[in-house]
Amino acid sequence: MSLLDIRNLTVAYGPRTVLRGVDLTVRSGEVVALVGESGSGKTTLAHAVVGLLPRGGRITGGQVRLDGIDLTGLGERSLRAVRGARIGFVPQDPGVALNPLRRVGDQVAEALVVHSAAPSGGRRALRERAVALLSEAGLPDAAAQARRHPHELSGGMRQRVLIAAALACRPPLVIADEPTSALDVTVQRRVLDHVGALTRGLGTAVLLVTHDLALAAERADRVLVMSDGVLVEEGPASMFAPTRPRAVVGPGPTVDTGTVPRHPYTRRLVAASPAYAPDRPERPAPARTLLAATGLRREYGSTVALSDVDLTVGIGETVGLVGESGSGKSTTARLVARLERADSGRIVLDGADVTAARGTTLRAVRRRVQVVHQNPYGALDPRWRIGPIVAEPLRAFGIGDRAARRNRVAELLDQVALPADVARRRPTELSGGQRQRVAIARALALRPDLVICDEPVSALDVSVQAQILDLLDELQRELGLAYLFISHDLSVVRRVCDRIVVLRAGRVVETGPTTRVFHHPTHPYTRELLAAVPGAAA
Amino acid sequence: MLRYLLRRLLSAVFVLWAAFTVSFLALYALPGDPVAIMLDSGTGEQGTVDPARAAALRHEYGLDRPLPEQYLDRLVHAVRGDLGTSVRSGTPVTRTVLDAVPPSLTLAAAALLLAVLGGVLLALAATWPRGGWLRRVLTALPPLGVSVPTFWVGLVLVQVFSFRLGWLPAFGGTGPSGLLLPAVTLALPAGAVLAQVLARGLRGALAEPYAVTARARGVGRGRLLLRHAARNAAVPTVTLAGVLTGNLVAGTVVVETVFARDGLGRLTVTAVSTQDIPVVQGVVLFAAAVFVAVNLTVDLLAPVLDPRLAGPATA
Repeated sequence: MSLLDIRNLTVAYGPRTVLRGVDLTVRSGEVVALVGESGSGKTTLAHAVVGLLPRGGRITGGQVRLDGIDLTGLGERSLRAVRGARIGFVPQDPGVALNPLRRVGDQVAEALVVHSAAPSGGRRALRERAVALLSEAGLPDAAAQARRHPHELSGGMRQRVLIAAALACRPPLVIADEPTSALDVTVQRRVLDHVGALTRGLGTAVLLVTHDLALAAERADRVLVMSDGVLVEEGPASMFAPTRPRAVVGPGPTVDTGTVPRHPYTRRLVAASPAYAPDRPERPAPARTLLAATGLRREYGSTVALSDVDLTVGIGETVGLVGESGSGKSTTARLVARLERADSGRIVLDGADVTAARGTTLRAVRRRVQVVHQNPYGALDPRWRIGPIVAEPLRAFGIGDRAARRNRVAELLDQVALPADVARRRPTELSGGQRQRVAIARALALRPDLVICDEPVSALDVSVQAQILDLLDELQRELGLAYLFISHDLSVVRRVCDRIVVLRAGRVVETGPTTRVFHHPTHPYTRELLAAVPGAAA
Repeated sequence: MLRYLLRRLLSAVFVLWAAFTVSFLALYALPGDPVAIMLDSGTGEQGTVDPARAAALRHEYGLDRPLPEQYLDRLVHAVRGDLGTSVRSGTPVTRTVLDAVPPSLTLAAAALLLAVLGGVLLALAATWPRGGWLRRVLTALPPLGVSVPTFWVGLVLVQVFSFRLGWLPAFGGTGPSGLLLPAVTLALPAGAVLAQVLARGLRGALAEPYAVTARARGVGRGRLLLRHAARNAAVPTVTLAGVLTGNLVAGTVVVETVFARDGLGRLTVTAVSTQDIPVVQGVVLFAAAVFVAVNLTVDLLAPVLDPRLAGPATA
């Protein structure tokens, strides 16, 4: 018998139905991955199982059976006995999922206390049990960490705390909702490896909810793909593994796994996922160097954010700057864009030293170097209309009269494939992908030579991601743009960059042509980074 | 932590100095002749002032000296605790003010206790139900309490409990029974604001991801409110309680007048209406000192409640 048996589950928020007749089973000890993009209903499903739908959401049909008992028919009190004890829940963002004012050890112990599962021996025994659980979840020096507050722990450590709390009562099922999406890849790999071993050892079944198909294929026994509130495809994990090259991606030999995703949506998802994309074709070396930075150094207080960083970008070239959080990617971008002064080092733009440029020279640099930021929601003033937003650099540089600017805005919107009437709308009326197109249009307004893209697609769904990456490619070919492409996502970098620079703790550890670095990395850290990418092991 | 304490103390001293300077400028440097006011015994016949006597008084109070000299002299004395003498009664200002403090302090403390108790209970009661009419009614109460004027509440309370029911003395009464009506009057608006802010804080905390995670752990409503939400909501509420404590001291002016109680409020009213400038300044400085002390306490309490405020993250 299945441990979890969801039948014909329908969930609505007010009049809007977000889950339509979903069937899903998880057998005892099995790892099942539920994959979908944002809005697909995957998180709603996870919350519906434990009866924690947000306000306004309710189950309008179907059953959620755990060990044969229908949870949808249970009251709050009975559900409370299930949550934590029978179903553990690992939430999405470890940064906000722990109470900031309570010690992490107490939050783990709480699961035991509320289910009367605390060991005999009072507070002391309880604390020791919590430390043991934290240590089991892979938290180093658990006894000391248990006394700390969440803000004193790194993201990876917080996620281990949440895992320890979810497993505290030894539930037969754990639902993990994007458990590692907020973490760096190497941390993600270590956490998932550890959880995998731990749950296998305990015989715990896992329902893994994720947007990352490659990750799902790597970690689960079975994968279910969800789109728009409906399960569209289901199969063994091997069916979705990104062993390149594959028939679904393009011409080439099909791999021996036999079956391939059949549903058009899954095929689109696979085609859009950078992990499944072919390598970027090699291009001839750029004619000359556009930007050369040497010996960049930046300190914040007593911490050295960047030290001795060299970087060149040729005309029309895309250079990837990769590294994990805290590696100095964004600092490098700000220095190169001259938004911030380097403590030492030299920045040469097209032969001219701009390290200490001020006034008109600096304004000239601004014209030639533009930035597209990570968060398309924060980068556009919500009170402005799109037209003035895109025209702002033109106004700032006094280019053209009103009519000329309006024409240029129309031209720019056309270049980024947005309809002309977008100019009259406001950012809130646009989707994330559309907003990022607007941000790109604004960056192009001054006809720059170099566009610094700081994690331009990391806030977007893979299918939208693919469209934006295609757009950047197209603009590069048309306009001869050079990109400095900053990303933590190696799959994205592999797809769009000619050369890459790997940063770690403020230093360059490796640099070279993308295909060379990916297939023959020389530095151990680069190898670790590449091995951590979901799907890399397949 | 030590540096934090030192910084807070320094800024407290600065606020006191600023209060002294501003009140000095407002009371002494502005047009208007304090001596004329002293000699005018409230009859409004200023023409009859004897010039010789005026000059003598001016000299006695140091008012014939240049302004900066007066300022420094008074500042030095103030630091030593000497705020001059009342121009009406001739007693030292420090003495006059300190004599008025105990009844007002009792009143303010009683009001604070009532406000905090009532506010916290109301906030919890308004957050506990997950919906329904009870929650709506309880949520609507605080704004009502905030918008009703203090003197009106006082008059209504006196009308009902003293005149109609005869349970409590209307005016003056000493001891707990005399304290109750004024304290309730004073506590009502403060408690209402507290309830409003705390309830909003609790509701905000309940909607946070960590609250959802705690529920997924099997945590029930009561534990969620008291163990998880309450402390998170307490941080802004304590800050507000600090501001309210200052307001309670100010509120004694109205309440002590309505209930004819002696105290700081009455002293203020008398000093202002008789233009007893040194006493007014004394009251201003005392009020500033109370504000500073309360805010200092709140600032020192905040890192205890929220460890994130104690210092930068160590990991």
